[in-house]
Amino acid sequence: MLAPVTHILALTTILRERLLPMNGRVLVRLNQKVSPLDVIAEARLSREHVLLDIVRGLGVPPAAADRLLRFKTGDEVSKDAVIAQTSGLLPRIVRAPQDGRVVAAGGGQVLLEVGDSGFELRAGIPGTVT
Amino acid sequence: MPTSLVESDTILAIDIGAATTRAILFDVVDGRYRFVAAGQSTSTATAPLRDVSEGVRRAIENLQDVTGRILLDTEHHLIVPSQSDGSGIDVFSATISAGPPIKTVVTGLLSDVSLESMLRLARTTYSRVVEVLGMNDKRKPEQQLDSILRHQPDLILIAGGAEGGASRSVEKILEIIGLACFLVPASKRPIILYAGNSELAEEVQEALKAHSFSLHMSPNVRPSLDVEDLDPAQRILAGLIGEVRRRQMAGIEELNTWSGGTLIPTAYGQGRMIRFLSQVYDSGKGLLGLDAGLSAVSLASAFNGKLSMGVYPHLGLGESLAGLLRHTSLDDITRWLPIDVPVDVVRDYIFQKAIYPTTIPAAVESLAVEQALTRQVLHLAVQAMKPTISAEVPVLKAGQLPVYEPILAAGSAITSAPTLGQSLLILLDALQPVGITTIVLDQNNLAAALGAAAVHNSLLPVQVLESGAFLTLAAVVSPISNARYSAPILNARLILDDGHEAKAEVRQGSLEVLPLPVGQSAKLQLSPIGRTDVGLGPGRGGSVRVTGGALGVIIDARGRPLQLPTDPVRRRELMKKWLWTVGG
Repeated sequence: MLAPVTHILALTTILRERLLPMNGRVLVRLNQKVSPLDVIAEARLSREHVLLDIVRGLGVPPAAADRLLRFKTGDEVSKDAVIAQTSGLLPRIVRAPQDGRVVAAGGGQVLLEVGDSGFELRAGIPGTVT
Repeated sequence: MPTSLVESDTILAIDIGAATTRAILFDVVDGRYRFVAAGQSTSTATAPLRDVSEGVRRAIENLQDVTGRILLDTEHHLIVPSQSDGSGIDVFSATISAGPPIKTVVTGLLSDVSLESMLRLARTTYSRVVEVLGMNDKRKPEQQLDSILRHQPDLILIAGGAEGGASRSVEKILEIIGLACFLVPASKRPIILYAGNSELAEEVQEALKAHSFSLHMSPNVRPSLDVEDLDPAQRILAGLIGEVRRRQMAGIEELNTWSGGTLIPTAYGQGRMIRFLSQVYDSGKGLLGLDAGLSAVSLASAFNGKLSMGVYPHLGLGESLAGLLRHTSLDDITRWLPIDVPVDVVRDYIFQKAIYPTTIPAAVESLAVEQALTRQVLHLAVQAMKPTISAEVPVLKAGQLPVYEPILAAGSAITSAPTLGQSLLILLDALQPVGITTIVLDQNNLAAALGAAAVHNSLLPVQVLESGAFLTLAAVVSPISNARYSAPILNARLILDDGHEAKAEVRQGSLEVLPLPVGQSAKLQLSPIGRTDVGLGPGRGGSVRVTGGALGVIIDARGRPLQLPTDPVRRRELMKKWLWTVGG
């Protein structure tokens, strides 16, 4: 066993790296002075997803379902928007159950990102952005 | 690898623990490999440095100071190979136990088949299972997906399907895993190990390779419904731990390069050594290795080369202590205290130790609490491991520890106790061994180092073991008897080679010591009274050869299971008496 050692140093610069857990936006600039509670970056944190089975909803094969999609990856959709629809007198329709964003589409399925909330990263300590 | 000692290697083994980094030197002395010396330093795996190489360098420098040998050049690089002036080394091996538990998602099909096997596989290393996906999971696919995303796993273990078996269910699981990995930024994607139906290997590659940080394939852990083979997957998993740690802390890549890509978890190195010893010691009993560390409590049980391992990060004596009271109660901890310590003080110590895991007990009270914690976490680990121990290991009494010979113990909480008697009592109280065994202390954490170095040099472990690098604590006889308290259950007679004798009439509930100097061999005659079983059969006596340990020969007749008095005053008096019996 080793006894723990504490060092006391004067005139010390402490560097702290603050990272977002996902892609987002940095809100501060180089050399900006920040205090601990300042928000220095933000991101969108999605907590829920909804998987829409277009194949089952439209009753068509996966390849046909992909052709009938009206949204692609990255598109925002609002509640009740038509995600895919067959043609004919009595079309079958798959609608978005909630507001969200298409994060994956293909293979006859669409994955929507819904219910997101903002994530704010605070400085945590007073200092200068380097 | 040397084929003769003429081409002998100087071997440096590094072990990076949560608190301490050790540098262990092995070399040829008088024609045989020996443990030469160890240096140590505070580990630098965590803040502020988060770079293990600084701790490694300091440990090697400490080793240089101890041995007087130069191992690092002026630029702090290892001198390889060893030089004629004695400087440098030839072989480098490394083990690691530092780092947070690895967040692991386990997937399989049937809960009592492939899923159970993967959970057992996950328990052989420093993992924390955060999510389990099986065929019978009632949640919607998006709920399973969200759960995986929420937990942000480091590692995903996928099994499912015996050879030639179900594929559709595995494909559904692959879809969810693939989606989850796709949604995570590339740098944060988990490492994936597939150990299922080999006919699906190509499909798995197609579905997951592009979306994982790295994808690895292993032979099926469940090639058929009634056959489980974890060894190949365990071997691959051991290598993957290094990959996970490379993402978490700096310096690991360099260590892995120095060791020729053989950086392994400390528990795996220890397990390898225990498996090897079970093949060397043909005693008809199992062999048990344990390590009570800050990162985890690890147990390795082997019999005739068949290894079972359990690694329990939630029972580590470091940061994990913060969650210990979810797995046990304060009463279960305080029952091991030989002195009166208020419950609040015990609770405070637990949480303080979790925040400052490297603190050392500095007073009688804190030492007592630390040793009580060690007993309890070891006890919990043994209970958790018992169902997974091979049925081949002989058992004297159902529900008790199988019969092991020897038991090899590591971990500073045990090996650095102020007296050897305290070390022994921690082990006897926590493990409650039965029959005839030998307790051995691994004071320098050599087992894991030897297990890692064995890849480079197979002579090394054999010769180091024979050189007495481990401390034999005691030969222990633990009889099983249903006699009432204080009834005589056994007569023991120790006959030394020079003719001297020591006798003891052993009563139920007692702890006896027969003096036998270290390294001396003697004949121990055991004459059970009634149906007492000393490991030779109920009521059957006999003679066995025993070798003296630091504490001689111990006869632990306190009962199995060990029943402590419910009255705290009486209990504390008894514990003090036992401690006094084994030397304090």
